[in-house]
Amino acid sequence: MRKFIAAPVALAALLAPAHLPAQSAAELSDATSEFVSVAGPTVALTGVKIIDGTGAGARTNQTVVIEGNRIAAVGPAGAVEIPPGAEVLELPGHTVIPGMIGLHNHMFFMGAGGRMSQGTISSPRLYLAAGVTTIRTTGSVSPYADLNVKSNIERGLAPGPRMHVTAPYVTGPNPALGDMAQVNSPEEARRFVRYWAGEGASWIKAYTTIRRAELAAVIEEAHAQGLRVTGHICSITFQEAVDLGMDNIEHGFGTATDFDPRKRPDECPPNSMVTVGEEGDPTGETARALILSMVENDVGMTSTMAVIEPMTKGRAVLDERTLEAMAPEVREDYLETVDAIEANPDWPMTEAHLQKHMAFERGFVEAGGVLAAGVDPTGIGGAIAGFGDQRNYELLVQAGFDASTVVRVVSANGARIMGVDDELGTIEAGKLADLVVLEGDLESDSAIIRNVTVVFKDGVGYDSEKLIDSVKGMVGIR
Amino acid sequence: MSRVLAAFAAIATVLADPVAAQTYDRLSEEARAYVAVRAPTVALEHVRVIDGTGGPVLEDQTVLLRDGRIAAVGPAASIDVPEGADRHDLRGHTVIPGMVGMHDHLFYTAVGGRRVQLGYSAPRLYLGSGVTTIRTTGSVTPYADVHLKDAIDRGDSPGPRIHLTAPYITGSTGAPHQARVTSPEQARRFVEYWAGEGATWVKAYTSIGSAELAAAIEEAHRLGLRVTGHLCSVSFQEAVALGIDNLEHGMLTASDFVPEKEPDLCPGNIMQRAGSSDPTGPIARETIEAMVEAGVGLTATLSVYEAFFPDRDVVDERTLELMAPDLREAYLDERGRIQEMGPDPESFRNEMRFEKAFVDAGGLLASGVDPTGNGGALPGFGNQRNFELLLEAGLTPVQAVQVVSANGAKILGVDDELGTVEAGKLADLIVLNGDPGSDPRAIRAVRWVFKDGVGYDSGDLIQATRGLVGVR
Repeated sequence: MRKFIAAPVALAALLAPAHLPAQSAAELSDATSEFVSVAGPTVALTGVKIIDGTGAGARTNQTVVIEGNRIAAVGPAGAVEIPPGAEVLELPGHTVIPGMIGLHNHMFFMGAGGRMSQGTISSPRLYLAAGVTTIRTTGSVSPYADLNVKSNIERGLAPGPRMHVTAPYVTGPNPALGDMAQVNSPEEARRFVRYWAGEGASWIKAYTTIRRAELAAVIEEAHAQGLRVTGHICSITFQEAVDLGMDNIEHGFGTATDFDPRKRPDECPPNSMVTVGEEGDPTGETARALILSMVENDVGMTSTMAVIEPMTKGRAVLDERTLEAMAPEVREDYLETVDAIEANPDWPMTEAHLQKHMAFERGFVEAGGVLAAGVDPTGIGGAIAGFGDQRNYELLVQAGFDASTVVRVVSANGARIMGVDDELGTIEAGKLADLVVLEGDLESDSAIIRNVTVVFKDGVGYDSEKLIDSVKGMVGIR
Repeated sequence: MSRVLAAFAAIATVLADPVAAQTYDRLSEEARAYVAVRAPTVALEHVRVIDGTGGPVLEDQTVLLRDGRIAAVGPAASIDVPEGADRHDLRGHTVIPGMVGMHDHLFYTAVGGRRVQLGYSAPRLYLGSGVTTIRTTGSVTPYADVHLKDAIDRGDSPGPRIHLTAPYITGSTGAPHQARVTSPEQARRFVEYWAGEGATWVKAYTSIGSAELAAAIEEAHRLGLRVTGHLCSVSFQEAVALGIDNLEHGMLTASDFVPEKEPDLCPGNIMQRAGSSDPTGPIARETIEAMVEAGVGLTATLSVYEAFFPDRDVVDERTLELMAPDLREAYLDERGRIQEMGPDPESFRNEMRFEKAFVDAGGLLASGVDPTGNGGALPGFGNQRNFELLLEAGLTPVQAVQVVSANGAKILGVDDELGTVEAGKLADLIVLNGDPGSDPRAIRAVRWVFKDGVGYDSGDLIQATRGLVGVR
């Protein structure tokens, strides 16, 4: 008898509408549920301002209805029917934006003094807490750790963002880049791609000393396997990367050796970022031709100004929340490094350099380029998971973009580069319910990006503050 | 004709440089900074030798090193020291073989969830402590291990000879950084890839399934690799039957001691349950017998276990000095907690008894530090501590030297070149100021460590890592 009852239940589950939660609150482990503040399955956010990620202007007094893991409806108050039984969150004075998509979001952290640690616990929690609901890891040093975190998150065992795993860094022979795979021939490059594709990587990240022959092989093999390729490059110019068929380029202006007069084929000129920062012209002929080529070939660019800023003299990142998240010894090393930069009269990374980054990104967007963003939690350690993604938002506003454009950069454009824009990146009916609720008016004040109250992923709302509190003092350790 | 000449030239090269050795000339500035003895011919005179063969302690010996090899060993009066040799009168010193560390990761874990690649401090600490050969026995940042080996082999970085182990391979559950394999095909694919990257060993972990372990062993053997494991889901006897080459840790990880263990499942509380079993009872005897018959060695890792037990001497000043300040504080707090409410040390004593029984039964016991756990066992220092603990376990000094050197070389398959102080072998040896036969702590009094005939200053290597353990 019990068997007969069980069968119809299973059948009902199969026939249920496809928009049921992929990962409903009920399926989450206790360790994950602990951070859930809005369990759903039916939720209405009312009275909010929406910046929807499409590039359209902000709209006030809107209602968003979430059913299961999808956005069921979005529209002006009164025009959207709130389903019976919905949990209604009245949120006047709040702004809702799409979950951010971080395209340079490592699971590891590199801080001052040569510290490198896998943020097994802190990174996924901080990303989700900050409103980053999808990340691409864009290079890893403990590759199986990244794959396992992704699997744990997908099984509901740990809170965290959707993860697109990138293989370990791949570069050319260079003793200084010991953590990375170093390929010496096109065949080695292909073997590397095939192995990590099979392990679950969907992207490859090339690094500063890879040569053209190996990069060409990486790209060809990756495309054959259905993967895409991005790079923090130096031995390859941006123009060469575009010509070789690369899908995305990281960091922007400072790493474009197209602007380094010393550039020789297959070689990364020493201290190129400094030379480019001093001598490069972000709006000149070279820049215009390069941008045109990137746009024509639909090669997106990932802005990572959050990692550049702390290394820029006069721009020390000293906000309390970042320092509190760091382990005490990591904080100490970081503050010492900041002091050393400020005390050094010859420090090469200057405000003018950062302004050139901004100008290049403006030129890229004005020409129709797909600009996305990511934190890159490395450098001297001042850009940490999630907080640095929020800082990118503020820096893009400083660069001169309006709120609607910046929201699109940090969400929809990332989704487009990743090829998930049919499901993610904007607040539109039918899309997956990945949303960020901010207290305040983001349109008039970019710092509101830090005021996250609830982050929805797959229609489940997570308590941002609780996630952040749970990892205080952990960044740099685990 | 030119071919014959070329062949002759090649042979001449081989003869002139019989070791492909890392002579002083090939070292970088950075590596040279630690070198204390660099002459092509070196005489260590009037030393005591414990040679690693299991033979008796030899007094008043001269060890002659030439071009990276041990040229002669014998009574001081009978060895002709060639003209021009760099002669050292080392009365009161003891020479033992360079240690071969069989569980010597290049990463380090410690209290508070710290897990750090010690790309700078680990190679210096291993070499400075007298560990001239290591097997990495699992890695977390695999390419970093690969490239550190290259850097040491090129002479760019000081450090031990490295036998690379692939990343850990386990089943559907495991530590965060381990490769999880759930089919034999996946296991084979894993082994094939890392073999190509330079791994010569594979390390299986506690949740691997027996089918996957069998596939890993088969594929590894096909490609000329060997397999060891810190096991649990597969018992020692099962692993021996599957053809594993080496087993790590000892009875505290042997699920053979849990009679109701289900196939492919790691029983809970394994350390406690195995540790409270009889180390010389029927299960222990069966397990040891199976290993001895199959020639499967065991790697002792007493120093990593010791730090988990109260009333143990594991808070030495030299270890604390090397730790990063916050780590030191956290470790001392942890030791305070353990002292108050740590586990019964009887299981630690049982582990020692098991290892002694294994040796007594003819088993091939080697040792390694395993610089993990709560962080008390540092690279190198923990290898030295193993020596002391093996003596505490009841081994003789001659046996303990053999365990930390020659037996590791045998398991690695490099015993024709390394592991003993004998003429013809590579000149990897340690000069100790004192007699470890009468004072176990003399193992810490390393003056020079010779690798490939080049003598490194132990103190300089160790001091270079002050405050960096736990950071890099």
